[in-house]
Amino acid sequence: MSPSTAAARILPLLSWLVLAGLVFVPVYGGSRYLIYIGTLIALQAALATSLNLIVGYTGQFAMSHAAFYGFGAYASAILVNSAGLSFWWSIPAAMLAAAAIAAVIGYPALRYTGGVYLALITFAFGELARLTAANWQDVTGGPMGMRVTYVPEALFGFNFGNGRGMYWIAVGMLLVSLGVVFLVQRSRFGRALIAVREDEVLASFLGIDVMRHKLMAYVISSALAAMVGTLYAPVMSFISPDLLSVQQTISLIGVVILGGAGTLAGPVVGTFVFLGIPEFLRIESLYRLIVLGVVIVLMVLLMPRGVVGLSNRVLKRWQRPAPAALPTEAGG
Amino acid sequence: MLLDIAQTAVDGLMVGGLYATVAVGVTLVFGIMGILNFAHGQMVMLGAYVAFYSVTAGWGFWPGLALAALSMALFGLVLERLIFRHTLTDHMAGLTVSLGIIMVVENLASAVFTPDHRTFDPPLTGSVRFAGMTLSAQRLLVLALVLILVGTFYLFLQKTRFGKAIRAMGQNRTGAALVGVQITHVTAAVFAIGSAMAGAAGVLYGSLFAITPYMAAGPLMKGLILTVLGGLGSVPGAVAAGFLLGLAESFGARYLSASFRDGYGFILMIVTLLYFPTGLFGARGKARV
Amino acid sequence: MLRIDDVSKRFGGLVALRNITLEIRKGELSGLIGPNGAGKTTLFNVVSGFLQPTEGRIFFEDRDITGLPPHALAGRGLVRTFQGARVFPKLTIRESLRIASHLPLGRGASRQPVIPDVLHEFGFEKYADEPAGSLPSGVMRELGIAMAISTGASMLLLDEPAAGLSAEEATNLQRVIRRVHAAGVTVWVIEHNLHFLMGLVDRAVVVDAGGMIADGVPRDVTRDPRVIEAYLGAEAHAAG
Repeated sequence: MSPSTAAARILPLLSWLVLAGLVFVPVYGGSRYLIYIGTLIALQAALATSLNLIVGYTGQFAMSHAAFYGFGAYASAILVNSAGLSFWWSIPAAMLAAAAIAAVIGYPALRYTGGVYLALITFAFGELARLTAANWQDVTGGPMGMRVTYVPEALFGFNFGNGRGMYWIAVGMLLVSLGVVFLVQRSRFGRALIAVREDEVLASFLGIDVMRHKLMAYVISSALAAMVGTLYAPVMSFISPDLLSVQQTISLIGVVILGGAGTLAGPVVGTFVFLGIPEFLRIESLYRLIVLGVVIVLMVLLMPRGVVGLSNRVLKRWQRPAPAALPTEAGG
Repeated sequence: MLLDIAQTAVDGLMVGGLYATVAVGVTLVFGIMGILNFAHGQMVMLGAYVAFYSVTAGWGFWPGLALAALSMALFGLVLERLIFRHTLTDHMAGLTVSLGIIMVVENLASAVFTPDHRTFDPPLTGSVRFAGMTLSAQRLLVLALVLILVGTFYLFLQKTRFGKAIRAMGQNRTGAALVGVQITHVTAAVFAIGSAMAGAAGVLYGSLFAITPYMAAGPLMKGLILTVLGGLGSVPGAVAAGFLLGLAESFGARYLSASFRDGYGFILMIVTLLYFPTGLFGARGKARV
Repeated sequence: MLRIDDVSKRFGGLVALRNITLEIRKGELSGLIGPNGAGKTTLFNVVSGFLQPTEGRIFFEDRDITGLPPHALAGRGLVRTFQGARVFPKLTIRESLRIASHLPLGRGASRQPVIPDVLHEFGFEKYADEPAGSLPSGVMRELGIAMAISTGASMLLLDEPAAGLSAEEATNLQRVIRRVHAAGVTVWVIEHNLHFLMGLVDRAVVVDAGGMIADGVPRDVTRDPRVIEAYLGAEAHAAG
């Protein structure tokens, strides 16, 4: 095995190990701030990963992701505060509700529109959701938002109610999102999603029910977004309708593109680059967004496959045997 | 009661006209290039700031208006040349790139201008009494200007050769090229004109409302809604939809719920996207492909 | 295997297909020819679920498939390819074949493709990991057919597979089609290039202006005066 091929095989594994290692840093790093940042990064990474499923793998520009995130936060907060549900039970409840809503609006949206029209209609639904949250005073607290005073209850003897505990929940949610995308990626369903992204018509003539696949991807991503939202409420102790704004979805899409749409690690890398590095360097969010914007423009023009996509391509080149290989060598 | 209705109607027309001035740029670019330029709203914001600085520097409102239109035309040209020219084949890339542009412009503006709300004194103050109604003079001026802008543009499209070239391109790109339309010139011109109109709209917005770096979101959304309602690519459609939406919002806010004002437009947009692919007015606009 | 029963298709005032009735039997290798605009692709579009017939019914393996969407038909084994080479340009051959061969089917297990190892059968090894868009056109056409086979198709509708190919590529394509046919797949080919088609098929159906005008062995069909008239007539019109 040539050294470059060996490197190509080990590099991805190594990067995952590094990421895994990073997970432990906030906890043993000591400071509250580090834990807080770590939690936010984990949440955003989980959001980006779930968005990647519908945008990156299936190629559908759904602009409603942040709305489902906010929905998860509001739904679980309302369930906990008014119905006395435990935080843990509010998670599947919010996810189910989100899935139902996604199915209801996703069906006509995906069936009758596509491309930019889908972007517009999901954008409209998202904004409507935000306006509803801002206006439904009695239920959501209106434009001023809602205070959240509960924390996750202890489970299996572990205290999840403090900063550290909630950080672990965030990491758990990130792992769940990654897990879902990982399973999808190597399944028949995932391959069909890619076919839908590449050429819907061809995919349907090869036997793929395009509508069903798009809808499933949309429902799954939206439910995952809601899941992440449920944790946002106790972490921030406060939710406002701005959570559902389109601006949020736009930067999420930016992060996914930056890291590499359609790859497993892409969104995580993207979030880390976008949130983690500037945070550690204390760069203001304003400048971060400017840089992200510039990067997006450059990427679309020059490097459509994102950071991870690019490195994947480079790695693949190292991995493949030289073109002059003899026919006796095993194919691929 | 009648007075009330009339006043609400005038207000609605004025707001609708403003929306239409912004929407014209969006729908035209979409019709010609197939690109949904989300960054169009930024021209509105920048135009407002140009006017603000022009007024505070002592140059006045009207020079500010001219400057805003010209500078935005230039900016639009630059964007088209440098960026959008390259995303012609991939419409989603065009949308994505416009999102990136929003991020840069909006936040750069926030860094440079600071997020503080700015206002400048409009050229007309006070109100005008007409047929028993009390109408703000500035709002009337805005309405008049908007009608002039949109009307002139419409005439330009219908009567001049260049306008016809633009319309030809919107209908059939290849066909237009075959009969000698200079595609690149037309595309550049469309961007420039659309941006100029957005810049002018921004000045008008600024004369009535507060100016902030994030003010683009509102006009942008209205622009998108109108583009859909009027049929993508149809300028008359967008204009008609603009006035309709303005009226709908004005009456809705007055007689139903004021804070849900923006919601009416979105509901209309969703309904149109689902059931009226060519826009609310039928054949004029482009159906979805 | 495929029965088309009095199918007509109208687009507003335009009649694209007019009372087409024919049957393709299992195991046949047939062609569909006719001058430009005769309605050949429209017929394929209707049969493959891309369009709904205005009148008439279509049966596949004795089951009524009229109005079913394309993916359902592919699930039953009726697969159509497109004019020119329609492949996934950014995906490799390996990835494309993998997508094609793992289709979930309504009832029961996936159908087995008639040619188990398409990659090797078609000689794609040396291109296996290249993006499909960078392949030579002849290979792309073969990939289109390979993908269709991988879905487990029992009948293929090939729409002008040889358009724009060089003589050598066309011969290769003929070989591929014969190989596929020999494996048991029923094949129906639209082709403009009569030379390509006549050396390939056992039977030719001729349409003109939406209606069937001949149906038989290639040799007879090419001598049929109505067929000659249709082609020459079209040429006369083109010559103006």
